[in-house]
Amino acid sequence: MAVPKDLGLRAELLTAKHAAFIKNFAESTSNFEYFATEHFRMSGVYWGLTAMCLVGHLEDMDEDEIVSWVLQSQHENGGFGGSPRHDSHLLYTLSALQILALYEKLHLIDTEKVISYVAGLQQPDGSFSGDEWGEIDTRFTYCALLCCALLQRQEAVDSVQAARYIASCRNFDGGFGARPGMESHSGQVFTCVGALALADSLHLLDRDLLCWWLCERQTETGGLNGRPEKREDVCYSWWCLSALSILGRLHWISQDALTRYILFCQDEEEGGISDHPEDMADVFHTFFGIAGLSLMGYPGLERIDPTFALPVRVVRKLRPAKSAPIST
Amino acid sequence: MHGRPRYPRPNTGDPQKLQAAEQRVQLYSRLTSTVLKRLQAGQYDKETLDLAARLLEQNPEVYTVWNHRKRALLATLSKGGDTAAEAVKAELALTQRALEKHPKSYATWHHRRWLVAQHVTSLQQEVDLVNRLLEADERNFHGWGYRQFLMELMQAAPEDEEAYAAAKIDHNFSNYSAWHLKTRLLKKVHHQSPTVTLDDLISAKSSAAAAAEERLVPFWALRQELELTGKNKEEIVSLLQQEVAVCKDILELEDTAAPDGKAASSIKWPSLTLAQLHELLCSVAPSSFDNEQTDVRLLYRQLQDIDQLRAGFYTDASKGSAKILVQSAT
Repeated sequence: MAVPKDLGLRAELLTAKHAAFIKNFAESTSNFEYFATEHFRMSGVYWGLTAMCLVGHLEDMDEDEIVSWVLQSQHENGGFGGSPRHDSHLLYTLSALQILALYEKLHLIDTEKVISYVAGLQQPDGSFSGDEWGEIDTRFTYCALLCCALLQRQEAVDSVQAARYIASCRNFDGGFGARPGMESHSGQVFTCVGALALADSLHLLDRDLLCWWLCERQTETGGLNGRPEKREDVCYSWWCLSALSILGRLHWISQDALTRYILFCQDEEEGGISDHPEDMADVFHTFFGIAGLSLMGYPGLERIDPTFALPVRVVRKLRPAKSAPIST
Repeated sequence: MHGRPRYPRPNTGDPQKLQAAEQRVQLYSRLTSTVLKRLQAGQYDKETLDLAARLLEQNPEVYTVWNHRKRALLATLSKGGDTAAEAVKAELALTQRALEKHPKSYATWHHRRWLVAQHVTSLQQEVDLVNRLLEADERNFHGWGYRQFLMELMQAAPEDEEAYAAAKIDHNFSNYSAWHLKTRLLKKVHHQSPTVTLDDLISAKSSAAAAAEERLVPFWALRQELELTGKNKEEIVSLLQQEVAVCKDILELEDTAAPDGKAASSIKWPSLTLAQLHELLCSVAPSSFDNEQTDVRLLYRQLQDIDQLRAGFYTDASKGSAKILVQSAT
C-alpha cells in the first residue's frame, strides 16, 4: 500500500496515544493475548518500557511491580525466564537486564550468578547456545555479549572467539544468518553487527557491501524489508536501521521516506503502530517503529543507542568511563 | 503479530463473539496452568504429556513445555530399541502438526532438530518433508537451515546440493534463498575453476524477471574469479572489459526498448554493475583507465536520479567511498 502524500492525523507521531496503548496493553490481563504471550513476556515488557522511555512516559508504569516481577523470573541457574513460570533462556535474561538497566536497578541482582549462567552457554567454537538444550543462533551471541556489557563483565566470556564465530556466519552478500551457511536476514544482521561492535571487532565485516545490501532493503513504500523480495515491515525499521547506524551509513537510505512509512502505520484511534498500514497494532511494532524514529532523530524523542537498544541516557549512566553511544 | 487486519476491531459489539472469546481465554489459561504445574512437579505421565501436546499444537512457541518433553523423552530414549524409536516417531508427528500450522516456530524447529540428533529416525524422510515444505514456501529460512542440518548429517555431496539449488533457481529465478545456497556450493564444487559463475552472470542479465539482489551474484562471482584463479593483470583487465561490454549492450537494449527513460528500474542494475566494473578496472590498472573516472561519476549521478531512495549511497559511491566490488578483489 502506497503511503499517501497527506498523512492526515498520522502526520505526527501520536506520542500520547502510543503511551496509552502500551499502558492499556500492560493492564489487560484477561485477554487471550495476555496468556498466549506469557512465555516471552519479559521481552514484551522490555519493548513496552523502552518505548515508554523514548516517548517520555516511563513514569506511567508501575516500577515496583515490574521490578519485583522481573526478579521473580530469575531461576536457580542464574538465568531469567520469559516469565516466572518459564525456563531460563538467554533471550529473556537479556530482556530482564535491559529492564533493570532502564530502572537503574541492576544492583538488585547477583551479578556473578547471571554471568556464570551466560558464560556457561558459550561453546568451544565461540557460539552461544540459547539455553541448556543446545539451540545455536547468532542472536544468542548478541544477547550474551550485551548481558556482559550491561553488567560490565565483558571479560567473563571469550569475545574474540565469539566474534570469530559471527564472522564465520558472513555470506557472499556481506550479511549474516543464524548459523554458518544460513541466508542473510536483517534481524540476524542487527544481532551480528551489534555483537561485533560489543566485541570491538567491526573490522571483521565488509562495511560497504553489507550497508549496500541493507539500503537495498528499502522498498518503494519507504519501509524496509528483512530479505530480498520480501514485503516491508515496521520491525525492520529497527533491525536494518540500527545496523546502518552502528556502521555510520544511516544516510544511505531515505530517512524521510522511512519516517513517513512508520507514521503511516500508526493507529490514530487506539494508538500503537502495526507491521503494515491498516494491520492491528502491537507493542512489538510500536517499540520498533518508535526506536527507528528515535535513531533518525525524530523531534521530541529520546535518542536510542543502536548497540544497547536502550536510551542513550541509560547507557551513559552504565558506562560512565566511556561516553555513549559507542557508535554514530 | 504479523498480518492481522486492523478492521473490523476484534470482539466489539457481538455479545456471542465476546462470550466465545472469553471461553477461549479460560480454556487456554487453564490448560497452560495445569500443564506447567504438573510438568514442573516432574509429572511426566501420559495424560500430562497429552495435555502438553494439545497446548503446543495451539501455541508451539511455549519453549518451556518442549523442554519438559525433552526431559521426559530422555528417560524413554535411555531404554533404547523399539520403545525409543516409537517415542521419537510420535514426537516427530507432533512437531509436524505444529509446523504445519506454524512453519516459522523457532522452538518447534529446534525440538525437531534435537529429535533427529538422537539418531533413531530416517534422515531421508526428513529430507522429503523439508523439500515438500520448501515447495510450499520457497523462502522459509527455518526450512533451508533444517535442510542444511540434514545435509551435513548425511554428508551430502556438494554437487548434488548444487543441483538442488539450480533446480530451485530454474523454477523461480528470483529465489534468493537458492542463490544464497548456490554461492556457497560453487566455492566447494568449483574451487579450482570458478569460471562457471560467469554463466550466472549472463543468465542474471538476460532474465528480465530477475529481482534486484540476484544481480549481486555476478559481483560475487567476479570477485571469486579474480581471487581464486590467479589471473595476471592483462587477463583480469580483459575479463573486466568483456563484462563492461555486456553491460553496455544491455543498457543499449534497454534504451531502445524504452527510449523515454521510463524503465528506470531496468537500467539501475546494468548501470550500477557498469560503475562497479569501471571502479575495478581503475583499481587494477590505474594508469590506463584515467578517463573511466568521469564515466563512473556520471553513472552514479544518473543512479541518484533513477533510484532516489538510495541517493546517499550513490553520492558516497561517486566520491569513491562506497565500494561494493573493489574491496576484496584488489
